[in-house]
Amino acid sequence: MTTSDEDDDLGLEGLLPFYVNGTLDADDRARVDAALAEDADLAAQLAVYRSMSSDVTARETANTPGEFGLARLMRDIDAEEKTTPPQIQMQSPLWRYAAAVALALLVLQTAVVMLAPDQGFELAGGGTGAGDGPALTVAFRSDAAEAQIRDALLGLDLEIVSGPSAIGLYTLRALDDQAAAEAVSQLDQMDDLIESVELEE
Amino acid sequence: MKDDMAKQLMTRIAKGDKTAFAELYRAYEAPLYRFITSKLRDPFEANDVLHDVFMEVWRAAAKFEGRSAVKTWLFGIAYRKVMDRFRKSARTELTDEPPEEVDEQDGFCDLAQAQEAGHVRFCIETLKAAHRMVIELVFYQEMTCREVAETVDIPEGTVKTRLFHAKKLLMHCISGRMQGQFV
Repeated sequence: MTTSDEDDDLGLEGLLPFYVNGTLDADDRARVDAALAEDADLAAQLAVYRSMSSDVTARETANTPGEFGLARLMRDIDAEEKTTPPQIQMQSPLWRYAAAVALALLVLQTAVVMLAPDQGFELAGGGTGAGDGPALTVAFRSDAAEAQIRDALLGLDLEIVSGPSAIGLYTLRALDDQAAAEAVSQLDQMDDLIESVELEE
Repeated sequence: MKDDMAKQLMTRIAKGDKTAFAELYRAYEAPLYRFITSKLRDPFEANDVLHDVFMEVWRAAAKFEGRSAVKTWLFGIAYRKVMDRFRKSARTELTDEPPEEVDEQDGFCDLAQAQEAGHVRFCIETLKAAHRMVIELVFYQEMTCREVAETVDIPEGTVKTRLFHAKKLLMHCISGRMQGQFV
């Protein structure tokens, strides 16, 4: 026991109850022993605490709920489990650290997006292939199949960058002016696929 | 039950192990019930408080971090539950007020004779509940001063003061009875 009598007004008498119950550490016990040998009044106080202790320990414990109490608890726990979804054990320090790291990353990401110069929106496919090449405006035939469109675009190195618009137009981008001119020429001949094609200025 | 074993049970209870819960209940039911009845004399009310204590143990086992002894944690829950009952039922009592003036002669009665005559038991029963609970924790549960302080949530110095006041009031009561005054 690490209690000290220096921080209260009772001095060694404050230690007497714990001398009686045997929880004093060796140093405090030795101090009390030394004082008791010389101080009859302290010894008299000790006798009162011993009397209290012997009375308390001699008392029988009243009849406890025992197994009936346990059965009642189990019944209530079962009922609670049926009405309450199981709780995820989030008390582990590992969960707390993971949550803190995730939160920090979210804040960092938000800050980067907010503070970065406004570059506008860019499609997921943006920045690859066609880049900032010339644009073509195309109207596909209504009965054109997706597979036909895909084959045509792949064959001509074209990317869809927007569309369809309200009137069904798509904007395609080519690698460069030469590729754009070649694409217009090729698409113009695909009557079963293309209704119109035009190179944007 | 040793604290390391009790902590192992708490770890299992936190994972929903009802066998471990039953084991903890059987180990601490009697001392907790005794502690509760040292303040609440109604056995039915004490049963309910004990039930509430163990329901909280089941629900809050995952929050137990093992910084204190399991025993201290359990008795702390019991203490708060009892105090809640007191507040809800508007039962109030002053806890740490100094006892009325006690005659210094009170300390010189024959304690052995007083004990034999049942005066000690009678007079302990007349003490305030806050005093009786601390006496129970120190002399029956054999807690250290720090453990009592943690359980009741008061400074260690207040634990000692409470015991000192209880002893003075006890001696005053015993002296009165020994002199035939029957306080």
